[in-house]
Amino acid sequence: MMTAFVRDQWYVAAYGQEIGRELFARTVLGEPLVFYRAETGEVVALADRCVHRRYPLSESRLDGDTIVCGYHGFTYDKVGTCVSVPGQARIPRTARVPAYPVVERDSFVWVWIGAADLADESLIPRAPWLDDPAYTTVCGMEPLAARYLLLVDNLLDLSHETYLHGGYIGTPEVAATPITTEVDEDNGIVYVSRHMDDAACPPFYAKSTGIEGRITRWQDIEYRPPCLYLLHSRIAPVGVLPEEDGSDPNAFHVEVVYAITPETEHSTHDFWAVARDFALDDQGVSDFLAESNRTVVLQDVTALDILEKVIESEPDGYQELSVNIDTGGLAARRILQRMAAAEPARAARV
Amino acid sequence: MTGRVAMLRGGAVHRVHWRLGTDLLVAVCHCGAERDFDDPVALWDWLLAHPTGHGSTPAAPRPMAVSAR
Repeated sequence: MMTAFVRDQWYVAAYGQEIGRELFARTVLGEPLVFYRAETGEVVALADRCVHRRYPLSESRLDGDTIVCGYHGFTYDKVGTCVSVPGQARIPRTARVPAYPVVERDSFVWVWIGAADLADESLIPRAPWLDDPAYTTVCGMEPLAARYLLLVDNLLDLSHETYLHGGYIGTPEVAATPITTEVDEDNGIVYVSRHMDDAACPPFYAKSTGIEGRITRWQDIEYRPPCLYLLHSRIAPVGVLPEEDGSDPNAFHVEVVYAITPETEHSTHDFWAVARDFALDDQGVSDFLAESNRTVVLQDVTALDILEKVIESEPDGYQELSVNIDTGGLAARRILQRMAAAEPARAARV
Repeated sequence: MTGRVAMLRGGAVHRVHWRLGTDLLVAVCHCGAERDFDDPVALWDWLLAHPTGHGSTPAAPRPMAVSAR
């Protein structure tokens, strides 16, 4: 399994709430970054290494909107330009650190990794539920000691629920539900649909939504490579479908969002969030969703950390066997490979 | 078999339907060509080889309704 990074893309680096007036370090695609919130509120991202002796700027201090290196005092402004060098008036022309394009959207801090002049905000995939007042959201982030492709593989095939997460999110109807996998080749989207037309309503949903009787239950994966994964979970009384215009006022929705951000070739930031449009003020529902999703994420983390060690110890080109449940995962891999391979071609044209 | 789910609306959408009660995957190319597989690797090789092996006169993309059934 190749681990090529896909550059020239937006990645989730943090939740907006993580970034304040303290310097914040996070590595994305092998690039150490330092973040802070400027006095005017916007998020700043710079390379986390002083040009002088490579000291981490994140181990330094913020003075207004400048970072003063904690080793020798080189001082950088919001765009990474060095504005002060200790003991001399002349500032060398090359005294600057790279600044990264940053956009705060849908509660996430997105950072562009690649050629800065290609950064286009309109390319950021959306997860609008996460800061929509019509939804209540619980969220977290777990560090994963495994390559990001293992998490992509894991999330694209929900049939592992029955085995890895037995008792948490597996349901008996799943095995008897037809699965459709779609790939939009132009827009690079993988969509895996499981539509259960007539299923028992799990007690948790019966209690929190008030639905009585059997339900229509959809679980649709929408993966927008490389970083954003959405699991649209829809629950409605049997036979109730979305309206022609796409609105869906008579169903209940849980939007599970993952941001899959490579940290290094062998580690990943596993951001997860669960947003719902029912029982908005019910703390018990929030606690249940947070606890159960975190438990599921940690079960995945344990398994994928083990798998990474195994794969790292094997030579490239090891044998795998793919079966029907891997249809979506294979589609995702192919798109990621294509995206990673497209970069050298683009670089060659420039 | 039941109606087929189609959620994406783009013009170049490949669809793979798992035929319920069987081990067969039905691959449907955006050109309308269709073929059964029991191996997803061979399936994607065929889909992505479009138009090779997808019939001599590929049809125009078929509009598909977004629905559950």
